[in-house]
Amino acid sequence: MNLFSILKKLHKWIAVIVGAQLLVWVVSGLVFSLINHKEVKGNFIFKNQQKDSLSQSADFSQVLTLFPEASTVSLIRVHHRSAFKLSMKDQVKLVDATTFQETVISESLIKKIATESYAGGGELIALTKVSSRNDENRGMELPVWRLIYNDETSSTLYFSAITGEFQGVRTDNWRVFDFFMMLHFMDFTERGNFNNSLIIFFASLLVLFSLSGMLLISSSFSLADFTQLLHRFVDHRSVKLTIQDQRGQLLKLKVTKDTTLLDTLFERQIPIDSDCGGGGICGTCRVRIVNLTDQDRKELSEHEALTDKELAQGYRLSCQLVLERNLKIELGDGISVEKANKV
Amino acid sequence: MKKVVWVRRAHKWLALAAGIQVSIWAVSGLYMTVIDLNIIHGNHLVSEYTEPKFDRTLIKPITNELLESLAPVQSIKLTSYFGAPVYEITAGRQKPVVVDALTGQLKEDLNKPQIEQNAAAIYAGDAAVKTIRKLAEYPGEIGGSKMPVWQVQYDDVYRSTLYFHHSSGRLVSKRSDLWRVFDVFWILHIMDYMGSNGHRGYLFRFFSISSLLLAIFGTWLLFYRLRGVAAK
Repeated sequence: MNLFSILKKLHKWIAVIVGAQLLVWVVSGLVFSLINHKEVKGNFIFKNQQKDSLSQSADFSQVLTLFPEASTVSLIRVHHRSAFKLSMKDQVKLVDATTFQETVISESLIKKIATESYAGGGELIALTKVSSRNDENRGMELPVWRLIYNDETSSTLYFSAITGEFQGVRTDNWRVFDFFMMLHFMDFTERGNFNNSLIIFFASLLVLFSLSGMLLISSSFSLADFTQLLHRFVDHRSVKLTIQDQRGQLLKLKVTKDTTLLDTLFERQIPIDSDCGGGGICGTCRVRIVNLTDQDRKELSEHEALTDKELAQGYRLSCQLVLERNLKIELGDGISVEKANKV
Repeated sequence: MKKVVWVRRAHKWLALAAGIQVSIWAVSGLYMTVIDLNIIHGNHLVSEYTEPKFDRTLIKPITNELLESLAPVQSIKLTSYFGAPVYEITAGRQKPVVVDALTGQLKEDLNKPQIEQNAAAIYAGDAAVKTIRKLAEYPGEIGGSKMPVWQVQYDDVYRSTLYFHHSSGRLVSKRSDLWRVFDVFWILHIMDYMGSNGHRGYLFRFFSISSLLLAIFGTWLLFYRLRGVAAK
């Protein structure tokens, strides 16, 4: 067994294991390139309307004195009011910037915030507070307010239920993208993790698979493949032959140049007869050249077998006719192209 | 022509057209999946660093002129990096402006010994520092912003490098050769050769459609062969 037959076997049996996932990878990759990434992100659904500037009046020292356990204090705007977001060891708090009272993002407040910034064309149809992790709120700080709209991309807006800050938007395009991500990463648990052992196993096989395929390319191509391809576009060795029978049926062929028409017709199994076997004597193999020109030769033997009038009309003997240019010919009575070998 | 002859011919010509890119996808994909993303991100280069509490009594408000010059201001964050309290002011689409919370004025750039100290506090590896340099701009590997940045290079085989913010001293980025190779493979994987929109580029679509056909014909041939084996 030589190297190439081993490679062929290897290529085939790896295909059995990796083939389905390979199709998944290619299809999902194609989806990633075709999908509209702006619509996946969906940022145009949310437009921040809080353009007013924060003012100095907020007292950072005061809030730090009141909440000494905070390691980071951020002054943010919550629906046109200033508030402090306090980051502590394992929790986040929101405090009003003037009264220093702890505040919460109520259902009515989040409705106001969302209504102001929602830039899609639908209506709010559901509003819920979500405290558990799911596919859509991956990467967000929980709990979140979830607002579902009935626009054409089924947008869902997410805001932090603690600070009211915008967390992201999920659209149908995002959901399609995310689904194909799961398939692409072979990650059916937490998503976004492409270091799982399943994908490493399949990726290793794919490396073997593609490299064996690449090596096989060298054995499956011969020089003739390329010369044949070349002749398809640049052709010096064949001519086009159009054959028409008395019933009007047409046959178009690409045939070898510089052979006699009779040989070609025999080869193509067109039932033309030659009593003399191509000697240019009997005249049974006569055909008519439809696209006759003055340059078409008349052989000496043809003057014997055909009349001058017939010659002028384009009649020739196919055994004497050498194919040098593209020809259109007409067959005699009773000869049909129907059973010809067309390839 | 028999169907199988035609399919085999299509399979081999498509392989000639798309085979190299499929191999690139396979090799780059394997690299990206085998090495833990945490290591690519260089998380192993730094330790769990607990920020010490800054002295709250020393905090000064931001000067009015400074704040007004930045308006409209979206958010102001008071935090500390390596013990030095700062305000980070977000205004517009710019990167945050860093204000020294001890003076209320724009924070001045840190010097080399200070960066050396920050790096020593957070670096978890055991290689020696090779160079500490202040670069005029972010290098390409951390995004190329037009801002100065401190670069600390370590003397290890992966050429590990930490980047620190020029004035706040915040750890901006962690890079190593594992990341740099990943980045090259990522570009090859999404065929992002022209820069920004490669992922949606025609080159990518051409190769993914070719390889899809390659895979479909390959699957057809596989079933053809397996059926032949079963018939024997």
